[in-house]
Amino acid sequence: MELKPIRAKAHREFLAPKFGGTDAGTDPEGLTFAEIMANPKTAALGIEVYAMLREQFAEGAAHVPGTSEGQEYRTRLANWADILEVLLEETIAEIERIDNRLDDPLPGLAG
Amino acid sequence: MTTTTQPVPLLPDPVFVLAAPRSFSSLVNAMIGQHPELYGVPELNLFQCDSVAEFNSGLIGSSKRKSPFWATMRHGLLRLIAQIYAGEQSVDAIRMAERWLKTRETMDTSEVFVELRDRIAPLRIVEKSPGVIRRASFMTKMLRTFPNAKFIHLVRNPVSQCQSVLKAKGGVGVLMAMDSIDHTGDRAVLEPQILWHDTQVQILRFLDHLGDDQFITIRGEEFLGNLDESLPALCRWLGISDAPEAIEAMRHPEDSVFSCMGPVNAPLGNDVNFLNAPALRQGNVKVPKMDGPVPWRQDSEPLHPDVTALAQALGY
Repeated sequence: MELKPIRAKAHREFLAPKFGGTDAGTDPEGLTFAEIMANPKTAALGIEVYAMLREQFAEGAAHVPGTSEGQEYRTRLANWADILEVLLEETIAEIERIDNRLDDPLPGLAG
Repeated sequence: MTTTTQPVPLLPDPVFVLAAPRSFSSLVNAMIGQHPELYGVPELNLFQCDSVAEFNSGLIGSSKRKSPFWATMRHGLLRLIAQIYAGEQSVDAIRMAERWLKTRETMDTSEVFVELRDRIAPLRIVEKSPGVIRRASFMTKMLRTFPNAKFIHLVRNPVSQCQSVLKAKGGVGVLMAMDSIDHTGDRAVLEPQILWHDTQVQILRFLDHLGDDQFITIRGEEFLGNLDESLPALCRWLGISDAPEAIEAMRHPEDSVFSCMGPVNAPLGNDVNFLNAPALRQGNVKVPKMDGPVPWRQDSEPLHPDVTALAQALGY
């Protein structure tokens, strides 16, 4: 088997404009949600497509493996958040203690 | 006193697979990446961003979102960093990878790719990120970063590719977002052959910047249907061993550490259909005929003549 490069030089124009799409220059143009919904024709298609997507992803969600792994990970994160909160409080308190000492380096000699 | 300068070793530039969605690119990328001199990685999506800050936030500028799916498009890079620096893809390793990226936010994404290339060397990276084809500037950045990279233009018969996109989970959403829509009738309808055609054109325009020795075109059905010949031929083109043990390794994409779902905080990094069933299936891949009505159109129209002509030019 010979593997070779194919350049297909006669084919450099995009097809989308021939189907009524945007006449793209350098890159094929995509559509944002706002653009889809702003045009009544594409909005009707958009509603159909979003319904199909909701159905597809709802089916998947019912069979997501590793839900317990996700719950376990969430619990760990919650524990870390507790620890970090305590560490943050202690760190800020320590900084305040240091600042107080710097403001008054020899408190025993005062007054 | 004389000083001797050590020659700087040339590190191998990656092999990039360029393909439209649903064109066997996950399978082929993973197969090639199993060669003992190569290293197949998940979809990194790095060249779609200027900086690592943009990659991390998914924002262009201060507020424009790159893609509603950007958060999941980061999973591949997180899994790779976790694997090569921590030796595992656990939730903790992914958190480390997040910090690794955080400390590089001021860097250009090409610098990060080079850092990963250096870390993985002497193995050579094999990568595909379908999102890179959306803009010519993304592919140009890829070439600017790795001027000696090799490129594989992977194609699939337009009829079966279109049917596969329509059937795949989320495929209709991709068609909609990419304006793969026939606007000419009373109703707008999805028209997947636009995506097939315009992706090939986008790739072909980029390949015009390369010499003949820097890329090849592979028809996926032919490649997968004749592995005894196609795999050694590919190895010879890449200048790597075509020994039987290397070829055997390439027949097992499922052996890659990335050919499975990842941990809960970075489960993806590739097509979910591939991650759930990564092994090579036996038997020839069918190539449907391109004449006659296409199955997804209600008006019994055949493929657009431009699509047929381009498919024929690509060897179908």
